[in-house]
Amino acid sequence: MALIRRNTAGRYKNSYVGFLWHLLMPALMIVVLTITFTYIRPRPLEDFWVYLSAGMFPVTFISSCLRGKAIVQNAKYITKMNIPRELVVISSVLTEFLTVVFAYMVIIIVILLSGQYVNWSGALMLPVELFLMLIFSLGCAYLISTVTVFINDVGYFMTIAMRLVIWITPTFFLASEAKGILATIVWYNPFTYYVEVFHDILYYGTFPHVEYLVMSVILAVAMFTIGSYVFFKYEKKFPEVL
Amino acid sequence: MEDDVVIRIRGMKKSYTIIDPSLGLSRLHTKKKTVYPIFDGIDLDVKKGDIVGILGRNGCGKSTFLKLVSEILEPDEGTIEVKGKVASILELSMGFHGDMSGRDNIILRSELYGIEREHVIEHLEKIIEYSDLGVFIDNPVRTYSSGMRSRLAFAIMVNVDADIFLVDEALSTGDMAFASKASEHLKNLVRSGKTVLFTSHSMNTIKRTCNRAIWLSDRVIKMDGPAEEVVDAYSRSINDSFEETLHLANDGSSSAQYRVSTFYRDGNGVEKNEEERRRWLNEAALRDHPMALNDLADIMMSEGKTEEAMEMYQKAAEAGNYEARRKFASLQGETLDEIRELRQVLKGFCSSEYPYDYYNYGNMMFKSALTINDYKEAMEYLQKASEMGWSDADVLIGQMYRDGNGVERDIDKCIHYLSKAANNGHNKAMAMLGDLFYDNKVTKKNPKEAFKWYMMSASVGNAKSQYQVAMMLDEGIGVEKDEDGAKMWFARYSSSMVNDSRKIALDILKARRGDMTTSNDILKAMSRSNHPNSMMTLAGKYQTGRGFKKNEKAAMDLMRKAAVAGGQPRTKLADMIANANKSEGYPQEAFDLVKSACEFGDAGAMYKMAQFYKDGIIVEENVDMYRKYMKMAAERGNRDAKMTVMKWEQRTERRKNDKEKSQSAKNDGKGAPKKGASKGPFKPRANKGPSKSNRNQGPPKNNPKTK
Repeated sequence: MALIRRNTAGRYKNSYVGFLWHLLMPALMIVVLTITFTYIRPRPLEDFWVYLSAGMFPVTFISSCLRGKAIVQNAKYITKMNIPRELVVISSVLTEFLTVVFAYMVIIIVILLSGQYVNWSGALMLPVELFLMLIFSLGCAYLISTVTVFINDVGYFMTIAMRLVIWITPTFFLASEAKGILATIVWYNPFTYYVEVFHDILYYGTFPHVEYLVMSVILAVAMFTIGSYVFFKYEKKFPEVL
Repeated sequence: MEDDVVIRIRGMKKSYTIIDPSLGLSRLHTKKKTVYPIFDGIDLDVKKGDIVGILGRNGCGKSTFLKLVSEILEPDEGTIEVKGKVASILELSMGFHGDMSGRDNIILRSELYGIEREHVIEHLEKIIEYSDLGVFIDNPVRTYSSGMRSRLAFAIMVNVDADIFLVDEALSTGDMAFASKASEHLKNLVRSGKTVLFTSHSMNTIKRTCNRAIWLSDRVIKMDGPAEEVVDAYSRSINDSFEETLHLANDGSSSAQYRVSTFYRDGNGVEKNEEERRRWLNEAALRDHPMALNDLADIMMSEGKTEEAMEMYQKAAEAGNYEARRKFASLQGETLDEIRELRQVLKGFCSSEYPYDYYNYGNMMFKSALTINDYKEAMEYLQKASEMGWSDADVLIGQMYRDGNGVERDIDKCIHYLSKAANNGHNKAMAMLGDLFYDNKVTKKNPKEAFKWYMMSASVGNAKSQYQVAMMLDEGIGVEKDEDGAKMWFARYSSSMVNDSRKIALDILKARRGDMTTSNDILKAMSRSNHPNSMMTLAGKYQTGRGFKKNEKAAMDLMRKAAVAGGQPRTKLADMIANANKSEGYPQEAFDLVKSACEFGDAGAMYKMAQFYKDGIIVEENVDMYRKYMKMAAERGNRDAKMTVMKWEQRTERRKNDKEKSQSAKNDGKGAPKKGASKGPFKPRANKGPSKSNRNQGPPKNNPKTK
């Protein structure tokens, strides 16, 4: 807990808006893209900003977990203190997760205020899906940050790769619009399933597609198993390598 | 595990893998991996209540050892059993968040150590007070100095509850006051049944703090035992081992290079070799090592290369070597010929066969010695003086044996000569003996013996020895702990060293210009421990408002406390009291204080006393008393008093000259009588008359000057 507080409270300690800065970056993206696609190059999609924000926050969250910096950046805790090492990863993931939860709360309030139709059975799936996404990301973070400890280049590679991911995940286009090779890529991208579920719940206001939900569960379990296996196998070597 | 063993290590082995340092992808498939063993079979039992210092050179695995005990690292082989909760404080100032305030950081850090948030908040004030950070506690930590950070970190640690504390290099940051506070805390922990393991490069800290020490070297515990013994053995090995020193010398340490040259000179651990000695001296001299420059210049001198030698002496003198400075000055001030002449004259005196003349010549030879032969000659004559019972000669001989000037170093002989002088009541010899036994560099340490000599010298009034005695009593080194006795000796020391505190404070100020708070903190801490000079300085600061808020009352209180111990603070206190009651004339209380300060030998008080007698404040105006006190003050180095006395002298001189002139005019050739001059210039009665008549004419302040 102390680590999370350190990460969140500490980061914006000396700023006036504080935690909001964390939301501002994706929010700005949403505004820019909304303007682009609504006025400059109009799309048939109504309320495009809802679609955008529903997808943008999960993608930013997952990609920030995948940068693999969790352990390397907190090397001093690993090498100098006898704390359970997984806490370092968990706390950094949870820190990012708080942002998504907060963002979604804002979005839901806005949606309710603007009087859109909400499917309540779908909305109930939102926390479930958020939890699944958390598990999935934690697994990724375990895996990538462990590898990064031994091969530092992976961290740099992931930073670049995550720039790309936002374009192969249906965030500002519809998944159905992807054709040909692009469609294959999009549907091989595990993020797509999570993002699509959020789209279903928040934008379309329906109960999410069951196959996406199932995929979410499978991916979460698989990723978490692989990630924690790798992590706990190698964690003892961290203090020596760092 | 037996009941009182809290850490048990059996056959522990650990090695690091060193990866080939080539860059990039080649690292992935390279098979060049070297396994470097750090520990090879360590066995250790640490008992409850031990405070163990871990010694060893850099890279011997001190930190790794602590990490293994704290289970951050795992041993490759063997077992480490630890009973109880471990708090590893491996880096004190780690994990502070720069943007958060000291207060927030306390909470954060404590939580990282696993303390409940509520518990921390409950004890927050206590922690803040312990950290001594005062108002700065709410500033962001990034604005703290490193000393403040370590104080904060240590205060947090104090609140951590664990059975075993592992502390790495913690006490080496921060100032003296902090270090002693910290080591006191560790001792307290142990008293309450905790166990402490800590590493430090400061051997004194380990000696003072630990009851046990282990020395890690060559992958094993080389020595394990009482802290004092292990530290002594360790420091001897560092100083005396030729291999160690050579190793350092090859790394380019100039002081090690110089030491290597002395090893070659004395044939210590290696065969004597003049060429090697020259080579290492040259190496060290290239790096401007003052003693090497000095030695090299000596060699040049003995080879007759005066010019080059001069150049080197100058260099060494600039680098701060006193011996070289002296030699350079004597070479420059008086030419070699003049020195020779002076030596000849002094040697001539020796025909009288008085010990004083022998000593004088020996001393001269020693002071102007340029070659080994000079030293030898000095020794010869000093011996003669010593045989005739001249203690100064004994001391000088002892010193030469101690430093190896012209003779082989011989501590036994040194001690022999020094004790001879000391038994004859020679103060300097006693203090030197104390130093010898106290400092283990030259002899096997013997605190009891050291204390004996310091005590002897302190009773005769040697300030440094008084300090040593006080310190040893305070810490219980070489003698039973006796805090009251320590306090008494501290008080005597501070009255012997009236100007000492100002010097300390000035040094601190110079060293940390701009960091007023720290030096003030030190002053505060020292005042709290009743150090009279610090109290005085602090009071002065309160009074003038320098670095503190002006606070006359606090100043007065502090000064009163300080005044118990010595002369100078009494004088100052008198000033303050007088200032506070300006309107009502000079208060009796202040006068009494000045009077007692005089008895403590404070020059300022005497000067004041003189003023009182001159101006008729409180006491009856009295020129004789005025002169008496003025003279006393001048003798004790009061500048104003010296000026006054000097003016008198000039005046009497002039008057005498006038007299002589008129007399020689009268007597014409009979010769001026010299009686008046030898009687001293301080009692010209002629002054008395006019000063009396002046009294009714107004303020007699400038009285003596008008004449």
